[in-house]
Amino acid sequence: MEVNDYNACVHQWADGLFRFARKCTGHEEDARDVVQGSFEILWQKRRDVQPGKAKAFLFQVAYHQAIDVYRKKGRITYKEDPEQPENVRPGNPDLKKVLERALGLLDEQARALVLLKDYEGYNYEEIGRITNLNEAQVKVYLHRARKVLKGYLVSVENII
Amino acid sequence: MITNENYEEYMMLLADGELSQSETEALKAFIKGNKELEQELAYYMAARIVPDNREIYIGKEELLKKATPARIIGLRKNWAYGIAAGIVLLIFLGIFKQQGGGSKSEIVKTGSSGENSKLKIKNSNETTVTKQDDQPTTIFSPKDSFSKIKKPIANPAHDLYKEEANNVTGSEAPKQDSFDRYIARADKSINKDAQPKRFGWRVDKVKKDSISHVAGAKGSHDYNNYNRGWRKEPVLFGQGTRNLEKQKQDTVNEIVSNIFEKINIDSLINSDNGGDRNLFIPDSSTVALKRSLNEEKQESNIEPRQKRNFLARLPIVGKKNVGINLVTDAVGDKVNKVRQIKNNLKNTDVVIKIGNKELLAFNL
Repeated sequence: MEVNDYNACVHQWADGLFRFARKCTGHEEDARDVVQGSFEILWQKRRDVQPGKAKAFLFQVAYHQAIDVYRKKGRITYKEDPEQPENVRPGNPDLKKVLERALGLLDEQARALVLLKDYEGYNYEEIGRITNLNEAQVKVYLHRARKVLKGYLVSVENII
Repeated sequence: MITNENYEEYMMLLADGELSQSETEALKAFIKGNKELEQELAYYMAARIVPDNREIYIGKEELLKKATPARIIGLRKNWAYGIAAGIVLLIFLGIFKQQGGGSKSEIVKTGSSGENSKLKIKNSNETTVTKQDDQPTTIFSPKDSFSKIKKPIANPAHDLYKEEANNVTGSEAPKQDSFDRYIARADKSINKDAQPKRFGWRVDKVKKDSISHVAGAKGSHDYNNYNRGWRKEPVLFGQGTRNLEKQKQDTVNEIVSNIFEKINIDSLINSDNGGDRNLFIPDSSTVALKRSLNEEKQESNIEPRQKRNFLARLPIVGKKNVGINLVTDAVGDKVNKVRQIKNNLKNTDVVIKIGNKELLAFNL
């Protein structure tokens, strides 16, 4: 991978990587750190990474960094909880907000699997390579997360 | 086949986009007419997370990288490579400087070979020496080969003294203090207006005569004593002391006359150096030209007997000239090869690499 390929990756995948990292970590600054760290590692490993596999490499690095940040985050208390903005309250009929709250119910691994599936459209095999899981595990964990999300939507619907 | 036990899995597979077209059609056919299943499928399809494209990463420019400029070699880390490159560069510069430096003297022949051609010796001071010559010559520049080479300072008197000593005894040369005494005696004989005589192989005869006829004589210095290390109290034996003194004086006069003759030849050879005693080693053509100049100059004021120089009388002078010619030809060939290599390397990019690391690049 040359400099031009690397810069093309920045322009093409930085936004998606940031969105993925933000949903995984739940914090914007942590997500920015994850993105910067992912691209820094890509630059260091640019001679070993082919341009066609740069996206998977970036999300793999971001996934592991986000997991680490999320686990570290459990020991940190933020003064302002970004996941609890004032305009988002329980019972809000906005489906998007409801799904964000439902996503917060998942563990970090299931959340990452759902995001990789819905945001980036990876299949089970590709998600397995990124998360170091086999295809069957990905399928099981993902379906388990789908049931949680669907159950949350049903519960919110019943409340409304 | 879709049943009541596995339809939920098929719904999640459909939400994940993992079902084929036929499986999708089969699922839709299975749930058709069942509102509960249709509502359940709608929940699974609504539970998919849709990315918000308005959410972007601000500050991509910080992540971009610029094209790497020329690499800077850290000599602190690769000091051995740097030293090696510097040595190579100095060798190249030394060769070029040797080719381009020095005086600009050259010998140029004008006119055709059949006519009265002129040889001109040009130097950096633009002084020109012309000579009429009928022999065909070629244009060359002696500075290319020997302008930088100088022999040690030659003292003709010392050389002559050594040669004479070898002739007398056939042993090693005397010491320096005895040589000084010898020179002092020679100067003394010049002050007495001694008539210079031709020097030859008579020294052996003098030695024999002095030893055979003057045995037992005492009280005076003996010329032959310097071969024995200049004893403080030289011993002469026998009679005929006056004859010995006369023969001794004749021998000294001959040596002195030959000293002056050799100095004269050397000064002519070294005329380009402005009287410098450092010998300029010319090639064969230069020697031939200068000898011809010397001979022409000596024709007007030197007797015919004195035109033969000292080296010409030695039996090994021919071999010496042959050896010098061989050496000068060999060195000249090497210089021409180096010059040819230099011309071939002009305007050539030279890149010094060790492995994939480019250490040095320059244009010749």
